[in-house]
Amino acid sequence: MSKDINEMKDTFSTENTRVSVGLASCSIAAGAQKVYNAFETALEGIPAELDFSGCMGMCYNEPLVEVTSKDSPRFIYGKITPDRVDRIIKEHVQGGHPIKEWLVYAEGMKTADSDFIDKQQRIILKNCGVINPERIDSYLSVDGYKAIEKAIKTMTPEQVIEEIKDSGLRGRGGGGFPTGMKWSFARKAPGNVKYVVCNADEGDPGAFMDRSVLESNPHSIIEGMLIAGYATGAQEGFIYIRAEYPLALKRLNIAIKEANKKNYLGTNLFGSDFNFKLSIREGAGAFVCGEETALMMSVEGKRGMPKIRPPYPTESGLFTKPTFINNVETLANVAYIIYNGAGAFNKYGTETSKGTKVFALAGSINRGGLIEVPMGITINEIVYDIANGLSSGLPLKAVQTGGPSGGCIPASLSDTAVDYDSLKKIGAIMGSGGMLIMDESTCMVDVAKFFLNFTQEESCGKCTFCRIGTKQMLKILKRITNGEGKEGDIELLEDLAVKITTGSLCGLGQTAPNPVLTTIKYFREEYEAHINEKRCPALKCKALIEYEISEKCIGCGRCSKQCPVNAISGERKQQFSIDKSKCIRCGLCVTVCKLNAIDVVTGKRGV
Amino acid sequence: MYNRMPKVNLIIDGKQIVAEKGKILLEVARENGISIPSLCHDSRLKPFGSCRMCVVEIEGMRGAVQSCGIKVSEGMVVKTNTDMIIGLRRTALELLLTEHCGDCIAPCQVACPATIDIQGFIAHIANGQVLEAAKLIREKLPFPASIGRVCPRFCETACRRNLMEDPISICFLKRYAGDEDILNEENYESTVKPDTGKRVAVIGGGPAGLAAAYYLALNGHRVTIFDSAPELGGMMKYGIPEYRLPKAILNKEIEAITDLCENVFCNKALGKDFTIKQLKLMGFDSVFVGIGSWLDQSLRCPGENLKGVYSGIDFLGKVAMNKPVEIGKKVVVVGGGNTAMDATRTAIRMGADEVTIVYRRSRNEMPASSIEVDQAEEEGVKLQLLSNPVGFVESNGKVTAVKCVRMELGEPDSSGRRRPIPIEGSEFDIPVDSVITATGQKLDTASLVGNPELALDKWKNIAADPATLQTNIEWLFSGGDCVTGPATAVEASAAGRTAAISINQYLSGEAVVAEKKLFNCSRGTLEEMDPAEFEAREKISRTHMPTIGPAERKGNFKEFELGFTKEMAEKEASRCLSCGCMDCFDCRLREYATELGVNADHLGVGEKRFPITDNGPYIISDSNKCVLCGNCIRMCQEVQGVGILGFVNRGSNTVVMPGANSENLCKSCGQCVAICPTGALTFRSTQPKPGPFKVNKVDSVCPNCSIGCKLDLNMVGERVDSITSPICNDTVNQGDLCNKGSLTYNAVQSSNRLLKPMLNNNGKLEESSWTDAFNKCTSLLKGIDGLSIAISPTMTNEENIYASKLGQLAFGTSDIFSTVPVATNRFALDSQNNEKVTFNGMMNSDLIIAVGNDFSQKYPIAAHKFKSAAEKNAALLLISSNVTPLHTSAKASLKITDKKLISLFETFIGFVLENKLNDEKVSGKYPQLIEALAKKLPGDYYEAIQSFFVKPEKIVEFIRLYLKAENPIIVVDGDAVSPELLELITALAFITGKSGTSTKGVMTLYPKGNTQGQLDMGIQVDTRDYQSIVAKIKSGKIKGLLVFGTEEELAPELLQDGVKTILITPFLPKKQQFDIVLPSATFAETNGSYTNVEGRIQPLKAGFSPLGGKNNLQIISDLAKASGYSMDVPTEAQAYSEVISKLFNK
Repeated sequence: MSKDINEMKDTFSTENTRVSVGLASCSIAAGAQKVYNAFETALEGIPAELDFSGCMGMCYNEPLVEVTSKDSPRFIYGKITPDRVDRIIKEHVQGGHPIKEWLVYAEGMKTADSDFIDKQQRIILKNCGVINPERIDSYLSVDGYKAIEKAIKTMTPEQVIEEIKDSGLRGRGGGGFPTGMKWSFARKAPGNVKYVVCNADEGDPGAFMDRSVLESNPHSIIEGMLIAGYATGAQEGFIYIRAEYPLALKRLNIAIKEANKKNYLGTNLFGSDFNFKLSIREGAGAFVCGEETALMMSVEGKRGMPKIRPPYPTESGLFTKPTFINNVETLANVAYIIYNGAGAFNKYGTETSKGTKVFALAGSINRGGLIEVPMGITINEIVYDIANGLSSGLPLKAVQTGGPSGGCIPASLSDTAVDYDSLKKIGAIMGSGGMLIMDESTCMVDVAKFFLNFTQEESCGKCTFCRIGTKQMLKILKRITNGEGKEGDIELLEDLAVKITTGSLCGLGQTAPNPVLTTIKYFREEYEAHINEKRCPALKCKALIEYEISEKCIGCGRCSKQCPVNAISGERKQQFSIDKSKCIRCGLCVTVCKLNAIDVVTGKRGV
Repeated sequence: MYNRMPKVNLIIDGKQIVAEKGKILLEVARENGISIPSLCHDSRLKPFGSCRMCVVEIEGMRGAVQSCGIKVSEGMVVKTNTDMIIGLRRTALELLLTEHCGDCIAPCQVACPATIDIQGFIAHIANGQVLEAAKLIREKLPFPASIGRVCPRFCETACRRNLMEDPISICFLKRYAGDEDILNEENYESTVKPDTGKRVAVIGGGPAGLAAAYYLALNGHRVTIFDSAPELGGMMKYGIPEYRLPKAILNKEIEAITDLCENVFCNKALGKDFTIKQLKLMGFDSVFVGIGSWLDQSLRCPGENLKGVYSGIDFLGKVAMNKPVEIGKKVVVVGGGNTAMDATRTAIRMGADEVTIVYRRSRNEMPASSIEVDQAEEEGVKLQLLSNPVGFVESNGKVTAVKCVRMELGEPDSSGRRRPIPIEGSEFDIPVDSVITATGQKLDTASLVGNPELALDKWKNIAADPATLQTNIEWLFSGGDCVTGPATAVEASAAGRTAAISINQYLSGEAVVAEKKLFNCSRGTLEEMDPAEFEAREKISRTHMPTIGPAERKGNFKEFELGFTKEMAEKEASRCLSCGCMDCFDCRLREYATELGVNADHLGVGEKRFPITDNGPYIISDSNKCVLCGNCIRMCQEVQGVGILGFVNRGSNTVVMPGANSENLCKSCGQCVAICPTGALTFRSTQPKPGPFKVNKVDSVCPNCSIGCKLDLNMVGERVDSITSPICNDTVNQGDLCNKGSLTYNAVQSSNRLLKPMLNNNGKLEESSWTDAFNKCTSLLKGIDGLSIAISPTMTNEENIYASKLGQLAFGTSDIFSTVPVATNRFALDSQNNEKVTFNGMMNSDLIIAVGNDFSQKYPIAAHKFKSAAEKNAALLLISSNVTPLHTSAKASLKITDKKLISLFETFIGFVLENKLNDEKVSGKYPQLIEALAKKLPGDYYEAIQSFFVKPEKIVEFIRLYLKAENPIIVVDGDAVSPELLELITALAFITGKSGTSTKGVMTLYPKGNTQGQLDMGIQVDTRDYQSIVAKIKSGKIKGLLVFGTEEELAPELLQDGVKTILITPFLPKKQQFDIVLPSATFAETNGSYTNVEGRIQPLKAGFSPLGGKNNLQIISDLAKASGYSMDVPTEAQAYSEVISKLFNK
């Protein structure tokens, strides 16, 4: 058991003190750059090193600052603003006294937030938020490029593939196809020219696993691609990354340049005859370009639209040459497996799902951020132990995994293990790692509408079912949430959903109906309430709710002042009333009423 | 040689199939008669997979598999029509329709009970093709002239012009077409199918019976009509007065029907003279009953039998039969329907002074058409509305007044009209001399005596299946008023046609089922349309029907509506908005939606989202109908290599759009239109109103180059509406076509066509008759000694043979040459017995060298072939003086000026001989050839190689590649090279042993369709021959020239002063120096054959008759006669056999 932080000694050495500010996109958005700049000024003349790293994962505590010194554990301060910088320098950097009340993490200690990190198992994220992503030396200091060296010097390509097969690694992009098998297909594909492509077109709403890895540890992806190239015989690689990730792009470019300079990329690597050229292709942010055939079209400079299979990319892919595509997270595992052996990897996870998985936690939870957990962990453990429960205090209603292609898991199934097969069994998918936690105030029809709206807008427009089918489904969902649902709409949705799943050309369309199908499966009565009773049980759908002022009202007039459309009126000290024809159901009155005198009711209109 | 693909066995829908391995499943299924729908598949394009219609189930594969992308493999078990698959296809179509906006057929046709192709016939009228219009109407309605006078015009109510000003005068246009048809008796004939020997009795000669008789007779059945009246026509004759429908007009239309019948018996009444059962015993195989509703509904008030009280039908009938009827001066007509109006206006015409209509509701509720009520009022009738007769006042058994009560309107009744309620104590009298009651009719069930088993419905009408009109007695069919109750003539006629279709099925032993209703996508009713959409369109007021004024017309029974003139009709027809889709006869979306029974109400149909692009010269694009199959984009990119079109936007906002600068790049080849499965891309019609028309496809061959692309002339009557290409693997072009082919119709029906002979009068050409022209020919030809004949290479083999016969036999000349000289190869040796290079062979060759600068422009189809061959096995090498679009597909190219080409090939041959790389067999057989070549060559090829401004190693690499290839083909533009160069190239192929099969050798392309045929027919085609002819003309040896061709083809040096010229040409000449000009027929007006560059002899069929009145063989024969030589016009077979024997004797 780790000690409580209050039992920790007060003073540490100030020798070799290093201050490192987390500077990933999420941190910068929270103001980390300003904090870094403040440290830069304040540390002038002080014998301490200032550095930066990538994402430490605790997004809910950004900006984060790590302070270490000789013999001290890792201390991480959370929610640091520039005005806190002076005190940290004075007390901790110069005085050696950590400021306990600001610490969110102290290695080996129990803090308020230590569960968040301690419950995780970090392979991919191990060096994220630790090393400086813009310095190859920083990567080398944590055994960087040792795995490819080991592969080239001590293993045959076949042995590398065997090792990957043994590890049980499956594609982390969502499909879960065994990586070793994909590599062996690519190895067997005829021809001298082959390509390996890293799919960094992360597109699920709310998902940022790949961005974090690319921003925090870009060399690990380059090394993964090198190993993949060595194993399959591909001598050229492309990283397909969306242009909306400018920081990731910048750091990747720096990493490739440095790797080329140090001959980790290029010709005759590690003295062998293995050559590998790597370049970046920027995507324009079309979700469908995460689909591998569409991705390849985009890399070729064409409109990103999926192609029919066969032929499969491993036979005829990029520029009609055999091509295999791995997701960022998949590739981020590769160096670890090769360097540490399959056994070090497959000791984590379940029978069929080995290793760890990174998730981007979002929704009504206390601790949102990036986590890496062993496969097989339950949803409950994630929600309650790592995320520290629901922020609203309301009960858990559902968890959406796999983003818009995934499914909604009801609270009743929250002891489900998070692995490929368990999730599939209940209609959800692992997906690329988005995880949205919803409390009782969430309308499930509205959620289905939200996700379908996304896929509908992101459909490439090529095939009938995806292009028009999703649009028609969305039309039906819209009318249901607008209180215009008709008898038979649920069945129509189900019928269309099944046909879109069966009939669509690519994965986007084939999975687009999943959120609708799972919400109907687990929350059918909520759909029925919308359609038959014109009632939104979660009180979310504006067309189905009304606001009423109860006798608790003392006539203070706060609500009436706030109402943007002047729908509330009344005599002072008398019960006020709401003109329902004017009310736009913004909910402002409920927020400002101190007496809870405003009730939201549903099911009263038009039944 | 050809690669024989290994075979695989598979099962599709339980059928054992053997197919070539690697073939696309969808194509294998279709080749084996199993139809799999697809909107986006085309064998010429790479699999795409957008429409999702071609899904099938394959054993061992999950879910639905697209058959357009998967290749057949051994042991495959496929199911194409499981419930899951059909469900997916139906949903796919329903989804596509939610984004598809347009009307398949126009709302007028939807509204028409007879489903006449209204838009089509109106377009014919607008285009001046009134007889075509009548023909189209008669497909659905055999009485255009009669119904065109009396129809209540359901169509006009639905017309979209109602949203702008007034509807199109559809009914009067129909009358116009019918009237014109009657005037042109020769066009009145219908094509009757062979006699079936089956007999059908039609009881009742009204619109239902006559229509049934007509369509039955057309199907070859023997029809006998029975009618109770003295003449046929039914209500049209006895119910509708002469001033509205003259008997003479009706009789003409009836005659056209009875002419097709076996027998007609009038004055024979069912139930009195015979029974239905008797007819069956008399040997009729089937019976149609269309006896109408002739029994008057009683007024249900006392006194109806008084003298002076008539029923409307009785009254009108008597008048029609010229029987005496006493009505006096004061007449009351009871009722508000059309019969009441007819009775009223007939009474006025019979001299009544005061005619009053008594009707129990208000004017709004009157069932008669409002125009008729207006016209009756104009003629002086009084309306006594909201009044109802309750009795009659009599004197001596004769009526003297009608007792009426006033009414007020209460709540609507079941008919939706407000129920009239009598006002108590409001009775009043109207003094009268006579009363005519017209308050409805019903079926006289007494006539059905003897057939108790025939079922009646609850209104006591004959019960018949509404879709097939079959009664409960299998062989008995019935339609018209006797089934529906009193209705309109157009509905009765439609019922007659429906019954005829059913009876035909019954007589053919088929199941009696309703005619399959084609799926119809509709933009909605008038109320559902947004009038704003029509604001930009030009408002044109409706053409008024000229009429005789009320004062003049009320005194007689003459028809008072005079009919449209041609100008009026064409102007009125031109108002049509052409709502229906131009692709409705040829739309795969519609076809599949019909087949799968799609219900568009399920998810709805699309709304208009895009403006229609209508500003191009040849192509109209309506994105509202696009199903985003991507065919046009891929056709333009993958086959044509142009790539103008692309997808713009994403998801459901995706639209196909041309890219920047597309106007300049688009060649209007029309292949995007041809491949579009819906009406999103359509050809601009060559006619003012585009129809749509069902086209008649006529087989032809493109005259514009020697590749010999097969064409379909899409004929509408005598006009070419568009030109497409049949999609067939056996043709040279396999469905491909360039703009020269697709736009040829511009020339053949241009205003530039010469229609009459022209004679030179003092340096000016003037029109003349054929007789005068041939007389002039006679005198001119007799006086000339040295005559020469020039023939265009766009003339058929047959025409070439007969024209050269004319020259040899009639004029005794051997100077018979082509108007378009080219390079030919006289260096033939024994290659005669060898195969020619073919385009199919090209697909199996491994190297193509194209010598020329302009293949993509001059021979686009050949350029496409090079490209596909290059995508398969062949390396494409180019020799040209410039960079061409083909360069992107080429493996290597040499930039050599035209002048240096001879030197280049001499260098190639030099290289071969110097290095002894020539084929030993050839050199052994033809040592003198090698010697001769060697002598001609530059001494040192190495020196020559330096002179091309190209790296020498590139040239060496070129010849090495050629020598390395097993099946190389050199393609030469025979129009651009000299004969010397062509012979050198041929020699190169010959001495290296790389010629003589379909996959290796030299192919020479020519810029006109039948140059190869001219060569085969012995016409002098070579430029060297041409030069000698020119020399003869210049030296005065040739004094007369007979030219079959165009003015443009003739080089100026041929037209010397003092040389008499007869030009036989399809086009008006610009120059005036010809002595005689005769109008000839183009390829589109000619039966015959062309021979293409591969030696294929391909037939041409005439799409229309020669505009000048004579076909070219006729002109040749007449010219022979004019010169005193007798030469009969050969039959097609004779001419063709001459072509074949000429080939044998060559």
